[in-house]
Amino acid sequence: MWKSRLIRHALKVCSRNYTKDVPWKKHLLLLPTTSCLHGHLQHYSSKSNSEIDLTLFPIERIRNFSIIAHIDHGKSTLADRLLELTGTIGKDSHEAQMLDRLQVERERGITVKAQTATLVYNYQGIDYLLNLIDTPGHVDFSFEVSRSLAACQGVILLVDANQGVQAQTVANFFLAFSKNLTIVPVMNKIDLKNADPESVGIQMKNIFEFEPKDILRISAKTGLNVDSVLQSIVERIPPPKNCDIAKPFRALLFDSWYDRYRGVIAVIAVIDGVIRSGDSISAKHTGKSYEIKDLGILRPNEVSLPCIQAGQVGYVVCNMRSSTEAKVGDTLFKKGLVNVEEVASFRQSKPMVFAGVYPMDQSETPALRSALEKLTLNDSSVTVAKESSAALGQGWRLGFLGLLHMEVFNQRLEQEYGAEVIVTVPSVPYKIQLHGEKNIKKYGAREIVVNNPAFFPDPSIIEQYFEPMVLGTIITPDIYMGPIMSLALDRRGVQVDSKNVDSSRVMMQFKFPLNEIAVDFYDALKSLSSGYASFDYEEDGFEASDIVKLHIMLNGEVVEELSTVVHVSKARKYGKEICLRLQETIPRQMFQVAIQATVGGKVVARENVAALRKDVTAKCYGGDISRRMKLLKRQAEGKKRMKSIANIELPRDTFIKVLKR
Amino acid sequence: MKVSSTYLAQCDHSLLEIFKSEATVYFHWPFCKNICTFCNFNKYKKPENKLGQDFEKKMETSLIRETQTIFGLTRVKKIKSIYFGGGTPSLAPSTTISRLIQCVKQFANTDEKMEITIECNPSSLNMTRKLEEYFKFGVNRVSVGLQSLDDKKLKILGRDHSSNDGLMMFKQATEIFGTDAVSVDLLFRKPGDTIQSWENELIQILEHKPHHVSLYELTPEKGTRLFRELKSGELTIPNENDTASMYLLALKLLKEYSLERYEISNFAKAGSRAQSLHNMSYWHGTQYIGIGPGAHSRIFPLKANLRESRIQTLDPQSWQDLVERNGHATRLCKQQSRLEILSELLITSLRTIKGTQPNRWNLFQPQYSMNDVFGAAEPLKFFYLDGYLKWGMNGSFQATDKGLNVIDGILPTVLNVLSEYHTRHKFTP
Repeated sequence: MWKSRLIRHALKVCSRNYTKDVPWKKHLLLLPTTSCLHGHLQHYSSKSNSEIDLTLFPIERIRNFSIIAHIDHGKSTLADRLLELTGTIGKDSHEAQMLDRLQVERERGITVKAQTATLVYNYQGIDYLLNLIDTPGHVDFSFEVSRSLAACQGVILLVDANQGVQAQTVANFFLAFSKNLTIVPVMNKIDLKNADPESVGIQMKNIFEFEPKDILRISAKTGLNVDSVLQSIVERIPPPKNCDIAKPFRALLFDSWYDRYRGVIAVIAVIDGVIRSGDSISAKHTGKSYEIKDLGILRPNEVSLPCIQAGQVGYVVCNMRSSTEAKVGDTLFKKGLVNVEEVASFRQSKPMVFAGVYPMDQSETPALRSALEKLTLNDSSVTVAKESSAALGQGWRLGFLGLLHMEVFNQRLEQEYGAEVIVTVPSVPYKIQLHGEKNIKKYGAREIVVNNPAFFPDPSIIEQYFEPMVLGTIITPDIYMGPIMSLALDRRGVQVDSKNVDSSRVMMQFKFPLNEIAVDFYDALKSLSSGYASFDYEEDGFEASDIVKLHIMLNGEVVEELSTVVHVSKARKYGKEICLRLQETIPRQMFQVAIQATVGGKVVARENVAALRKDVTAKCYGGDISRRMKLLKRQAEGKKRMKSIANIELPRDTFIKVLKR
Repeated sequence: MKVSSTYLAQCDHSLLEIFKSEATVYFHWPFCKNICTFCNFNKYKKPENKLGQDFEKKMETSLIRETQTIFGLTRVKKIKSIYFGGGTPSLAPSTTISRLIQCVKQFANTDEKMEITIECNPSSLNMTRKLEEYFKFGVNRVSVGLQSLDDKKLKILGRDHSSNDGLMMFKQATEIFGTDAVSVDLLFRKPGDTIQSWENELIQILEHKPHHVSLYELTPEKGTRLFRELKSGELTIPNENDTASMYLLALKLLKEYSLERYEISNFAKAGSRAQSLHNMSYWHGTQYIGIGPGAHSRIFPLKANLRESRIQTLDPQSWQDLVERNGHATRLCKQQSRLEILSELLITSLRTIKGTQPNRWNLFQPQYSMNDVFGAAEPLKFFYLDGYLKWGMNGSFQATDKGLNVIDGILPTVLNVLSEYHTRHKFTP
């Protein structure tokens, strides 16, 4: 992951050459394949786009695979190399790392939206069609990962020979493993001075039970042994299963994006039959029908072709108007078929982290709204609800799949919007069990899910709270075990497992409340391990928990906007934190201001802002009056915008500083 | 009700005519021998050669010319006070001071006892002789730029005099002009000040029994050397909390020496006639005419009902050229709305113990009274109840002692109440 400071920096660097008008998905140029045949590399295929005839590839000569890796282990570089080796793109293309199309992806070296590319590879005299299905690198996007994997039969598990197995590698491995995919272990960056393939081999044996002889050792950067990866893909990964070209058309929709001219472009893996332009299809989940306007393969840009057939992967354009219509995981089929079997079980993505988003200045609300609309067109997993706060004004409450998802989305939002956005401290959804027939009737169910602390029912009608849990995996050099244990305990973590991955590194697993890792956890982990520990998590259901509502009071009056919910053990600490932050930001008033944090009427933390004793300007003669007037008028304008609570005038800035992440 | 208010308006109308015929005059002498590190005024170092002398000569001519022109634009018949400020007006040739006083007397009526003040810097040469000359020409009040009794601090601030020079001048001025006619300028929150050092310094000054003290908090202004020195960390000044303690301590000590605060920064001996009438005029909305580079004015021009605010050209050379060409060097001239005039009246008069006088208010705004606006204003309720604002016996709107200490925190609310009332009742702006 990263530190937020780096994000800001990256933002600054990139915003300079950021062109708003270029749709981010489409700003790659497909270079003519001929331009890359300058002999730097031996190409294993020389098929230019126009020569590809998909009907020549029976199912046995198709391989669908993904590359999964921890961030910075070289996934995108390997993908680029595979594309080059097969002549799909030219070497030294203008765009580094072809598959990372999003600006934020390139900046951070992570992949958010899955991208797909079709390669033609000549192995022992026979052309094979390899479909590289790129996956997001983080399990925050586990839903995206799993739908990408649903279109694959195998994965390349890429591990940095220098950094070794990281938390994300583990999470990704188990995801692929649980889907019964063939896993090709590959060790990357073996050309580096610090590479230690032997001990990384041991780690891979200890954790994943790979035999060292099966692990490919490559350098994606120099191209060393990359051809062995292509060979292994053909040799080890099976062709698509359960496909039948003779049956009527059926396909899995596993990705989509929005093109402002053509509407939704959906990426599909064809299971049965053939699909051609002009065919009529239906979507199982939405029940809607469409006519295919265009179809083809991705290399990685769209190359229009007459048909795609069973086992193959490609794109279709069919007048879907918004990405919400293109339900990822949905099954497409020939119109008119009945009792169609779903390719993958469909599940709506469920947001797990919520945060309020507000413009810095209320006059910028329309601009922020249009930026949000644009982004959610492409990322239908973000939920959007209007929210208005007396302190921050009109804004939105967004739901994200996870923390990284939130970070990435917010960064994209700031880029799209071109200004700083106020993002509130994230919160998680709580399940609340009510008692009393009347209350249950009122809320419509005995168990309700509340996404916003402001909407918590009165504690008197609550029987039990449940909070979302995660299983967190930490891999770290063992010398940091002590401090990491303390951090985990402080965050209410419960250790589930711990094992040595080699002679100096350990893998620890904890069960954490999601809320506890939602803020600062990763930064804290990185700083106490000098950056060496890696962390990843997966959702792990809900558990009963002792949650309380924390109120903030100013001179005895509750400030609703600052109320929040915390675990009972954290009430004092969190209350103290907010009180201190308020003490720093509340401007001095004519009188003392008492800041109190209370739980159920009991004060758990308290700070004071001393009264203002002097507030005067020294000089005010003939020549000073104009300037003085200007200053006072500005202050007077500011006062109009302040919120008054118990006679205390609070500028918006105070709320921003307390509510902001 | 209606009848009486019309009647009132008529009364006010004739009062307004008298009011429009009276003004004070300020002359700006923009030169200094040395630039103080904290000063952000319009001041320049004068070339010390023949060129500089010629320039001075021309300054006098231009000042007189500008006085004549601006007077002609107004309905002013009577001048109530004259003030020579700067820069360092005591560096100007005394003949210039004399001629400027004569010039004012020539263009307008004046009382024999009209207050004429000059700012004097203890560094100016031959001060005894100069003070005597000033006295002879009719100057009757002197403001001494003492600033501090700590030589080290004077040096840090770029002052070119010792504490002894300052005290000497204070004594001489007192002997020549009388105790009620001499004021001393003091600075607190100087680099290196502590609450204790400030207390000692202030007591030491008060032991010399001044009848008028102007007490200024050193305010680092952008663009000054002091500002840069503070920013770079070369110098530090006391924090906000200690500064508040210093001001409150000064209030207490000054009171003990029976110096009464009659404005935020100005203190005069109780029962004396030491208060500055000239400055008082600024605070209570009297017309003022500013002559010289960068001087400000508030005047009612001929045949206009609303007041205008003027600023003269800042740079002395350009100012001179413009005066030569146009008779005056006004760089900015703006008509003030009724609301602006009232706002200015409030922010200045509420800094004084007398507060905003109802008769002044009615002159500017006969349509509604101060009490209509502020009497029952909800946003001010707290200030009344907690003793920050009050109403005087004569119906004046005042800040209490406690209120004066934090007046900057009160004024924005007062301004908002006024503009809200004004808009709500759809009065002409």
